[in-house]
Amino acid sequence: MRAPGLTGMLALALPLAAHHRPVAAQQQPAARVAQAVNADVFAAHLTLLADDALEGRGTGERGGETAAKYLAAQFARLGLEPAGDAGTYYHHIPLVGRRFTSTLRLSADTLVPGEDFVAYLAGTDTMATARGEAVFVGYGIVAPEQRWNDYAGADVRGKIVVALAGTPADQDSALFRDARPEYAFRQYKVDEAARRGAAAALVVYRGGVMPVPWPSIAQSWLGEQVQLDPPARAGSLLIGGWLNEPAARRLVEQGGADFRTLAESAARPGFRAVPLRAALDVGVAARTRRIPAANVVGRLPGRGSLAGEAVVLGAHYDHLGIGAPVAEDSIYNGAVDNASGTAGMLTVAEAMVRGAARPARSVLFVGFGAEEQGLLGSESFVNRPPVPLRQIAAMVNLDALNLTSESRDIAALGAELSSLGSLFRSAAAAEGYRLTPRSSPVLVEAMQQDFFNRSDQAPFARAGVPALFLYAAAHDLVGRPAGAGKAELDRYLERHYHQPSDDLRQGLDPRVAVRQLRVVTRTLLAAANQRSQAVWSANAPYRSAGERRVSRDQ
Amino acid sequence: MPLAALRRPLLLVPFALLAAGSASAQSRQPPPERVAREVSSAALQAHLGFLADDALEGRRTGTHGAAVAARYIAAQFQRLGLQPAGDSGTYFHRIPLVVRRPDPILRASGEAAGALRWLDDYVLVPRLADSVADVSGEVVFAGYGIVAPNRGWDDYKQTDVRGKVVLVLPGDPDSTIFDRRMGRPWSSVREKVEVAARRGAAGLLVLHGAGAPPWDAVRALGDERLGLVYDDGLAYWGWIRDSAAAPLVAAGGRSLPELAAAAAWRDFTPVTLPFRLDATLRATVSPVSAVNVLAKLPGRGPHAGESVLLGAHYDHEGIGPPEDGDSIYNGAEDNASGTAAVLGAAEAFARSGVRPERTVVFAAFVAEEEGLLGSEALVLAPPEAMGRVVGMVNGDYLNLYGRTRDIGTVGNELSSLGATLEVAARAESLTVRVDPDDVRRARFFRSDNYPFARAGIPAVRIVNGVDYVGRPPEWGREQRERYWTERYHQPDDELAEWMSVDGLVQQARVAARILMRLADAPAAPAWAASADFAPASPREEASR
Repeated sequence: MRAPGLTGMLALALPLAAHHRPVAAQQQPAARVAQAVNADVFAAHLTLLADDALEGRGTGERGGETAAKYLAAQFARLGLEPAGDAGTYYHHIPLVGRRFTSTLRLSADTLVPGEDFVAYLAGTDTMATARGEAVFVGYGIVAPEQRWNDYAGADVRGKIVVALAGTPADQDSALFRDARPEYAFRQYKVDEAARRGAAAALVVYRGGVMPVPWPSIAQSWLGEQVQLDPPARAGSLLIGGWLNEPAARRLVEQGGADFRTLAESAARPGFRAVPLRAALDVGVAARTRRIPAANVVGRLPGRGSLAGEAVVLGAHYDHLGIGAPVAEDSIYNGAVDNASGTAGMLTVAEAMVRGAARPARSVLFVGFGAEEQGLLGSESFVNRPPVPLRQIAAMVNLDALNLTSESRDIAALGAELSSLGSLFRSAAAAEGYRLTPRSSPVLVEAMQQDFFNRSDQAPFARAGVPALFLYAAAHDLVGRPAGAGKAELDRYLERHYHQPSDDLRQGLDPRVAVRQLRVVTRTLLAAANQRSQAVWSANAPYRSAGERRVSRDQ
Repeated sequence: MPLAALRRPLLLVPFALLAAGSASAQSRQPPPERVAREVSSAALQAHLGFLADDALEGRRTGTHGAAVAARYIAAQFQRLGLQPAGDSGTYFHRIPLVVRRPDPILRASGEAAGALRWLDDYVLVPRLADSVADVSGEVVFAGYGIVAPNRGWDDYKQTDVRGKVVLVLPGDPDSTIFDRRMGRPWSSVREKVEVAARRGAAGLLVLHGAGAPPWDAVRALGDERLGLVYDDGLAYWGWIRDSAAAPLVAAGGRSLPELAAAAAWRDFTPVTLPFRLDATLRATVSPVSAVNVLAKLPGRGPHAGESVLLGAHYDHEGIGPPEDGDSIYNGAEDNASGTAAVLGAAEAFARSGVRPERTVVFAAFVAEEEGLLGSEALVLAPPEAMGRVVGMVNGDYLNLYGRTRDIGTVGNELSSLGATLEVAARAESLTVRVDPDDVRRARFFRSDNYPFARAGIPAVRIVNGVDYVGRPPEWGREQRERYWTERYHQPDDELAEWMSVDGLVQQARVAARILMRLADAPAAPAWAASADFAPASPREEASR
């Protein structure tokens, strides 16, 4: 595994000794560009972005706007081409804030919003109602690659569907192994119901399955929903929502069935949708306001026949803004999350310009907005990409860098999913890193917490773009006891994650970023320069999306 | 205004390629050339676009917008690997700025004892940090309060005014000796304050008679305003009406006209008056957060302890009364332009790899719009890391109108900096122009170079030329006039599509060349013998 890195380093070292030509001309381009990654540059961007003056870079707030302007100024300074809307660096995110008020009646029984259910409008309507018999559609999943179709033989057009949260794997671990994680998500189930022509879709919250307690879900839905501009109408679907398990049980029992039996049947292959023989009447009204938000996109143009294609280096620049004070500090600076990644992205951009990188494919540097609202900046980027998706060869995302201590190992989440993994491995070796063992506690934590689906690479992966997420945690820290990496990760997650204390006072060492960013630089350049685009591995859940992406006529 | 300037696509400037391809050829070039060629128009445009953006909210001292601007400037310095030259290892030099609302009591003791009426009889501006301070002293009439060795004038002579209140006349005794347009504004209140402070006076009051500004304008000094905290012993300065002062003077058998008549002569000597003034300086005083931003490229020779400084103020007027629905006073020309030039020159020095003999300091001043307070605070209490500044170049309101064949200046005749500017301009194929309009407007004395000059540091200000490439001959002057009448200190001082950084690039290159030359010159810059800022000769010094 280390061999490619070693030969790379030898190839770099030998000519230097043999000739007297200037060093820069002798170095391999990737080494030269990687060498241009500069600690002062990184530290400067980090210091500014995490400063109280940026007010936590809240979406729709003054600090977030200032951060976006800062990124644009840096891109302009570096001479990157504007690659956003209408010749600017800004790529508009169609963001709205919506507050929903809803009613749900089950025959004569009126349910309590926030306790029994929450509901929202799926389209742009200001109000809508749906009534009639409900249909239980199991997990509400249509997954040909899993040979699973909860809608087989069912006609749900104009009806209210009720689906369980999670996947059949929750009841039978033999099912849905290596399945696309989004099958478990509410959003997927509502979208699938829309594709089937349903009028409303309610997802049943089950305590044992969902990691988040019901009151948190209910509370978040009772507040303002920051979301992308909904489509004018999601097919026929008007209303989506959550149904708390006790209310679902009442619904099922009114129709004369048993909830537990029904739920168990949903995890059996060959499950068929079941009419619940109970009428529901759901009504939702919305108040909507526009929220200004933008991604910031700069382009380093490629050269030659592949210049129309691009690789993306992304990092979200937004954070939580000003919020509830903790220890008299109300500014959520987000130094690690994600001033660090944003500073890293800018530092790599500067290295590419100063190191005179001449990549074959263009490199798009993207500061994503509205990540903290649910990856909305990256999602809107993928929905309306400045470069057609089939021409986006790869995406690397930076969301939190390791700024604690130098490490011997490094990891990128998603490395095993696509051919980008081997590019990353070579890049890591060239900078003297081992790959973090998959069984190490830090990577086990990443799997358990599903980090790959929790930052801006996820919308790219779902859209079929091979993607990597540089992991902020390492296993083996230099000069620290074995396993210190996990302790650092735990400490961050417990004490600083999404807290005002995620600021520069937590003891960050910007110099630690340099080697990581050199790995990123090399990976990006390799992805930009290789003859064909990166591809998903055979068993990757995004493989079919990847095939659709490249076959799409755009 | 949206980021008009940033909308335009920019061409990639491959600095590193240039550097990689001809590294050895480049290092054979003279240092000023190496620095000048690294000034990047993309960088100037980017800095200008950010600093003049609505998001910066007009960068008013003490506000959020100024804080963002200061941190932006520091981030640029840090990014370039320039060393901090501010307080205790930082890029920031905190200035002792406060906002004061005075509410003083002033009583005269002596034969015509009595209280004076605040805002009707007198106005004073406290200079201390305290919210209450008692300052009493004998009153000495010191003529016009002018000490101008170069003009052979000294109103104080040998008189010891330490701890006393000095009473002076406004203006000057002879406008042929003290022509403001021709040199240092000796007759200004600011200069009188400076002299009184240097002499150790406790207070300074200017008689409000003939030649003084209208009382309403004077009265406004009593409003809440920003000011520095001084520790030079002068507790306050202000104005007293002739009508209030006359009876106090008369009690000693003298009259104001008599005193004024005596003060018209060179041989005037101060007169101790037969009353005291007891002031109780009450004021609400609150600190205002304000910083100059300073970075340096350290020198390496025997002169490394000396530094040459390029500066520009980054503050402006903030958010104010709306004009056509726009309430943000962006200050694109005043002075995002100068700040961008400082950052552009700093980047050029950092990239060029030059190793200057003297230390080169890059400075962004705060509180210029409040009366040059940031630069004044800097010369009063320079951070140790900045070194001893021996020469200063200032950029305030620089060129966003396009390429020129000339570059403007004021103050070039005052010191050897003028000759250095000539050489630097010639290398950029620019002629140096001193425009009569700039002299008439006394522009040398209206920006941050002036406090440096007062502190004895040779300083020069760069301003816009008037001869624009591809424009009719009068176009340049018309643009200036339009700026003064239509945009100066208005929300309309913002970026517009027709503007260009091409002229700013020229100015930044000239500034960089001047700085590099000063840094490597055998001798530090020197005042011209005729200049009003030249240090007093040893004989004059000894005669004090």
